[in-house]
Amino acid sequence: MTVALRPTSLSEALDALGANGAVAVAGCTDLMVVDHAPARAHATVVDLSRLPELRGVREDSGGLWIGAATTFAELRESKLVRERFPIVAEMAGTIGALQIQNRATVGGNIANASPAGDSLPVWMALDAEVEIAGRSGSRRVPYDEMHRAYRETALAPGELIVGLRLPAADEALEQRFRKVGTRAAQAISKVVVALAARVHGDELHGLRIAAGSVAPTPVRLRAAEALVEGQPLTPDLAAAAGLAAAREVTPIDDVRSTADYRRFVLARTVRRMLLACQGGEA
Amino acid sequence: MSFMQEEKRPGKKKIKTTRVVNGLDVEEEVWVDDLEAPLFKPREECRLLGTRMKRVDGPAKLTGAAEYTSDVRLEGMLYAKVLLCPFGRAKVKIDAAPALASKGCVHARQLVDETKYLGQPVAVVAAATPELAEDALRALVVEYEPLPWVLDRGQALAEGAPEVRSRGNLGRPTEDGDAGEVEAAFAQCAVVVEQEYSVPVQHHVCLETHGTVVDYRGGEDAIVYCSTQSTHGIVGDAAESLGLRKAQVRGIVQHMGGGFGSKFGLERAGTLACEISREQKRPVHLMWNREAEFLTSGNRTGAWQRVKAGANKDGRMLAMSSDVERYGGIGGGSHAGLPYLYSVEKSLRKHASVYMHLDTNCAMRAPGHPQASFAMESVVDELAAGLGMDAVEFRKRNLNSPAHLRQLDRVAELIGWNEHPNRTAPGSVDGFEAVGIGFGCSRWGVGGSPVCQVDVRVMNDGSVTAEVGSQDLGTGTRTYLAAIVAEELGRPLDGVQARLGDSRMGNANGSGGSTTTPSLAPAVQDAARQMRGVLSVAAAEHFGCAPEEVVLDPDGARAPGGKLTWLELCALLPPEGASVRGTWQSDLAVSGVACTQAARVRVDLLTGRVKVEKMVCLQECGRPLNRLALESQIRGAMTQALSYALLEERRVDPQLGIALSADLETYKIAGSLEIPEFVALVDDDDLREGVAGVGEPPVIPGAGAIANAVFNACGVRLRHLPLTPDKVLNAIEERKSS
Repeated sequence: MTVALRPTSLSEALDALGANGAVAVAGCTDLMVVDHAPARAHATVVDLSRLPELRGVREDSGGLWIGAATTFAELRESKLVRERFPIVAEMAGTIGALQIQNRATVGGNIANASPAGDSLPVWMALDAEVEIAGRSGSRRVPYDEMHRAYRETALAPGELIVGLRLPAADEALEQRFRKVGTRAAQAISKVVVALAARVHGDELHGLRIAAGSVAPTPVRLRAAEALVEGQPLTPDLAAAAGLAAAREVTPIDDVRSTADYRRFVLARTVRRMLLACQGGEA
Repeated sequence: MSFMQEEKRPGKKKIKTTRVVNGLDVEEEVWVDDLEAPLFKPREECRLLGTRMKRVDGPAKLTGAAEYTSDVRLEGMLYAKVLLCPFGRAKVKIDAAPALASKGCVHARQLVDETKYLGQPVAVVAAATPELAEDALRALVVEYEPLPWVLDRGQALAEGAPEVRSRGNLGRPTEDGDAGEVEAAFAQCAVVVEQEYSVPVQHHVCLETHGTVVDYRGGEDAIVYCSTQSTHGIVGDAAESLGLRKAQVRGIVQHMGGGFGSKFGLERAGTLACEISREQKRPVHLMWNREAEFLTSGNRTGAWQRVKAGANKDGRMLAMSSDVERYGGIGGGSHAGLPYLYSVEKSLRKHASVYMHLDTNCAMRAPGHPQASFAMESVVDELAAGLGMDAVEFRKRNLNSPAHLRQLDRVAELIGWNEHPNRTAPGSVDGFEAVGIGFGCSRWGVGGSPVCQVDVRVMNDGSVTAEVGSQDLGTGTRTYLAAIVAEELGRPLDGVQARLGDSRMGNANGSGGSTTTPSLAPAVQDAARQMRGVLSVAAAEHFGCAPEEVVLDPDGARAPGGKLTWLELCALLPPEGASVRGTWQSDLAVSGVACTQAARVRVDLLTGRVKVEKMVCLQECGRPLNRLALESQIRGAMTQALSYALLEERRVDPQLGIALSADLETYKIAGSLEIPEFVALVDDDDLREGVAGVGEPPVIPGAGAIANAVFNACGVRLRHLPLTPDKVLNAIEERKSS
């Protein structure tokens, strides 16, 4: 028997999550799949969808604050998001189908911590910060430090994701997102890549590239970034960065694709995305 | 006109009638419809048949009012669910007591002691709600003792492999042909291709899973609602499982969410539901979930096909030898044989089944044909390429039927082949993308069966019903049942109520082999023509003319003696109305329909993704009854073929003995964004008067056409379905480095 609790404030929610075997839910789009298997039911589920502290998208010292219980449909529709972080809206539109986007939440995607979670590389590329609350207080974690191992996050037992902070984006911030799935829609990624950089002439500065489905966690492609950072970007350099990316990831063969294909396509996707920052081949 | 050369017109006869000309009675001969000959009206006279009619049950389906088996809710109904064995094979020990003790559960039992295939149902429970039935499943205490299994070819044929059946895992091969003759023919060939082609196991993916709702509460009668392709076919099995006589069981199939060959009987879900209902004397609802659907409900046979074929310099295929393995799980599998469709002068073939611990194959939309077609269309294309010959021209030199020859020309024109640069040599792998065109052909036997009995009734208030115990799988049977009668009686489409899907109605065959229409429509026309005769006689008595002189049209009836509205005409009938029964008419069914398809693809040379941009299909169907339904059938078939070509594949892990693709997340079918521009055409050069079904032929050649288009685009030949981007990319890299 599963007990469902519906707290109405953050502190109530944190108390409820202190119980043994309690799991936080919002859209339930991951939990319902897992719990469908016999003998996999959770003892207590704590519904976060009514907590005012976790909802909304708002300005935050030039950047944006996005509540953990914000749905992907809300992200897609948010004017602030579309204007400042178009890749966030683009990514939100590739998560499942509309029904999933109407229920699934930003915080849920992060906490579920699937290496194929489509939002995760985006937060990484945009240098987001995660706001976490626990009974002993709240803290902030840079997104780069959020995913520690396969399906393991920086969340301690009983802690909750409250929201995300995205640092200010100006018009020079180039943002790119690309997902490669088995089919054009409603498919879990074989490779997903997000990129953010500031364009100065033919150079990219502050380049951040992150990828999903190519390692046990979403990863920054630091070797690729280092090759390109501050250098005149040529097709050869973009290709070299792609190959560097392919070398620094550790994909696996699974039912959706092969490790070889993932490396190969990652290399080509990174190359294309870099060149696209200069209006090149897309 | 000389009586030596008596003119004949199909479906017409001449009668003598009297006409007043200038005050004088003049006797003259006129042509009228022969009410004894149940032919369809000439095409040009039809208001409904041959047009694009929306399906009569469309609004009910669109609004959710249509009741499918899964939707049936009855008072006191139990929900049953099954537990599937998660291992390739296992001994099973189940303690059902905790399940029986769980809330709302009234039935829980073990089904087998030892499983025969991966995913076999091992226990069934029934409870008051679906959720309580899930809880009861969880409460079962199950001990599995895994047994060695064979889940792929290597395991099945390994030394000392566990036996799937007592006579070994490799079935006795069937062989025919003369090896010496074929060898000699190969010696005459200018080009020879020897390759292996494989196709995976494909699922039916019916939108509605298998399932049955049984309404039995003890006593003498039961109603069985079933998602089946054979309303009459389920009655016997249901009666046996319920412990009743056949006459006590009524089968109901109002709306069906697809069968594609997998639902000819009551099936396992149905017998279990009947057994529980018999024991509990309560209605039982048992629908498979998607996992059970994918693991236990049959599938399209996988196949490995080694083919050697050769042609002379004129492009005539002289020789072919083939060695085919069928993968039908615990079943023998199905394969249509090679050479397929094309004529090859000398051939030699060998077929064998390889048995594994997976559920048995079953009929699936043209059983065995797409597998053979994929290999054949590929090898045909390889020979054409080997000779540097136009792929359309090469096909024409090896096909006998005039229908295919004209279809190839038309399809080539519609897909843009004549302007395409790669007609005699494929494109290159350089650059970012490449566009190619490929072709494929098929033929289907069709033919009707003489079992249908259609009852048409007209009441004296003007209401009309047409009924038969056939079923509408979603293909439009209900619509032409009404339309044929409406056409003949001059009524609007909504002036006839079509009723089907009830075993208490007239006999009908199961829907398989594309035979529903050629079996049913002739019987409907027979009944409609008889009813027209009855009404014509009634009107003729009223007008004082010959029945043949009466014309039924949307205004009612008219004859030389005057006019009657429809209501006035029907009011002439006795209070109980009039009813007739129609039977099959062999001259209204055709055998043999040809189909030709072409696909245009765009290959992304950097990611290996294949995007099908356009597919054209030209399909013979005899006389088209409802163009909209026919086009819809053809589009659906092309969609399924595209999905087979690019996406679908059952996957298992032979080491762990587990299923890897038993849901729609891991077993992907084409979605709306994969759908290309479809040009689905009824072949109007087919002027035969009989009708045919076209569920099957257009699903056959699509995968071959798509693979051929990929080759045509960039010169890489993919011989193993599905054409996933990794395979395409590997082939591109191989070609680049060679």
